[in-house]
Amino acid sequence: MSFDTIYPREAREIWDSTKRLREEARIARRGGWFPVLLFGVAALGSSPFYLAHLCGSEREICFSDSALTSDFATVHPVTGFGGWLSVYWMAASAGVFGLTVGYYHHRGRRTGIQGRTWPMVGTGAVMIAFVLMVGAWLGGWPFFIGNFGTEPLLIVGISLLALARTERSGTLAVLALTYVAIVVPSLFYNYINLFGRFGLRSADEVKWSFLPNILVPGLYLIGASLVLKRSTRRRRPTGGEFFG
Amino acid sequence: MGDQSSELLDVVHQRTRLGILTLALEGKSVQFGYLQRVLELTPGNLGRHLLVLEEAKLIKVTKSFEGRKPSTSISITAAGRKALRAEIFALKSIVTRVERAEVERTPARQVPGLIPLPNG
Repeated sequence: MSFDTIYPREAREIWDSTKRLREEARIARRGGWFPVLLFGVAALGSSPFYLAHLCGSEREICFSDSALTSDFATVHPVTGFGGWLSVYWMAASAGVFGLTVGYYHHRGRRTGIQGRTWPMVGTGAVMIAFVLMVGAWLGGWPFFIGNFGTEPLLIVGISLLALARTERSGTLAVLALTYVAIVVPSLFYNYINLFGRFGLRSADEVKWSFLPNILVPGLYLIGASLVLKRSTRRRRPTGGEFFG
Repeated sequence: MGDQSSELLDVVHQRTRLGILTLALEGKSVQFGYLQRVLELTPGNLGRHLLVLEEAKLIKVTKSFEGRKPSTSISITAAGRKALRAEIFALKSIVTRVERAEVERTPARQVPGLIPLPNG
């Protein structure tokens, strides 16, 4: 059949059915909820590293001797290369990326279509390595853009945007962009100040003063993963329509 | 129309093979069973189409074993991507042209709520 002999109506039918097939394949390969959930758990898991250590008679925050981080030399927990927070985020990221690749492989075998994960893994791994290793070595701005050591959260957001683009998922893109917006106060303002503006203050807030910067984005990611899981509906194969 | 068609590969310009390439493009690889299920083809029929696409170097077929179970996975090649893009572009341009022609043929609709004025 040559292109010149195709009827316009047939061209439209083929065009429509091709779009349906493409959409079905995209739905079948999507598994974005899984890394979103893992990143949420990883963020919440990092909470102990963000507990402030109080010292001196004035009970002030002393960054040099935090509860779980060593080399907590400045306001940035990650600047101390070799600090436990850096180790945690490197290990957690490697774990999330590894499990995600495994999950996509497993899902691909089950559904029959293998999704791509390397853009997300590549983006995240390079940025984590850059910020936590090269950035720590070079030190300071622009590698540490925030004030509270929450840069890894921003990298998570960028990785999720890369995944949204690979999966052509509008829902994931919107959720990831919202997440990035949520992370911004964690980087620059501190959520405890934001809560204070609404009269939400605690007597012992100094110790917990950095914790909301992790808890808010972490809980958001867990919620977002549930939304994504729900939105990934299973659809009946449209083969009949394709040849209809 | 002819200038566009000259760029099209006859191999791609077939409904089933267009479907195979479309599905293959969306994933790193697709399984034989998945294509068969979605396109509602018999194994023999699908196998023949895959052979045509493979011979044209538009797809890569990899056969392996998962345990004792044989598995065939299909991935699209760079040439396959290029051919599919050309085909999709040509199809889209026809559809756009037809839609434009239909709009031009359709008489302007009466605005609801307006009462036609009596003649004279």
